[in-house]
Amino acid sequence: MYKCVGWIQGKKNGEEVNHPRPRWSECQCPECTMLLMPMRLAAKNLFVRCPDSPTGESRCTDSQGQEIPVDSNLSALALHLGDSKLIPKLSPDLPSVPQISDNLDIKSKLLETLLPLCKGLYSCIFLTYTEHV
Amino acid sequence: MLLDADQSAVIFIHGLFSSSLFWFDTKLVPNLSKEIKEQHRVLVPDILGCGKSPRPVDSLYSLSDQIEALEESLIKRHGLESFHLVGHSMGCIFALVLAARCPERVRSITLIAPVYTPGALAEDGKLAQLPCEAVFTFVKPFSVSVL
Repeated sequence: MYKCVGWIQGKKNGEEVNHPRPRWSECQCPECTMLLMPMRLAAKNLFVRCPDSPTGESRCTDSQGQEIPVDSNLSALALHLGDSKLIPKLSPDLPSVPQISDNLDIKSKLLETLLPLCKGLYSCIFLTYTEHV
Repeated sequence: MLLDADQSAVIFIHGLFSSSLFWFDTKLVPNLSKEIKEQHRVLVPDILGCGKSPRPVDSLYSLSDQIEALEESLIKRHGLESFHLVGHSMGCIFALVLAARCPERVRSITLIAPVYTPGALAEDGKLAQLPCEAVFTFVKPFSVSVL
């Protein structure tokens, strides 16, 4: 199946050349045109990947990461980035110990701000800060 | 496949110029424990205009459009009554707005490297405003009403 690769093959003076792909809204390739639709339709058709979808399954199966036991009483998802930037890792002792920022001032302000938003919230909020500003 | 009525979900929302593959390429979703995968339906959307999601030509890709798409394609389509939200970077804004719009259904919010808006930092570089407060200041023009 044709796949949009960012350029279009054409000929100039008899020689094959690659033209840059047009703007996405003007690209005529099947992959791009299939995604063009009015907002009323688009809103109901977001692509949603699931771990058991074909792509997700293969990626999950190929993962080298170790699975860790999770406290079944903990209803919230426990994720932790540690001090890493974008590469996440699961800390083995984290699932049963929800952590919020060690900074108590930030912690209390966070709870004041966020908890009223989520009446059903009863578990963890994790914030990690990157220094990209 | 639609969700079972009694199954909660975890929604992962990627950031700007990214796609759902972010959560797989960084091994985050693949590394979720078997228990989490069994107890929760993991849903990882491409936001509007990203990845394999539609690219509407009549959209401004505004916050309201993105929220509408997430609500229609995830919450309403799957009839989600209970879900966790995980956002990365710009996805944190969407996670917070979704949480504000359906507070009864959100079980937890996980914000990974949330967005700093300029007002979040003082002149001396110290944190002057919490990111979540700054975000809501930033999104003020958008009416955050409950679903």
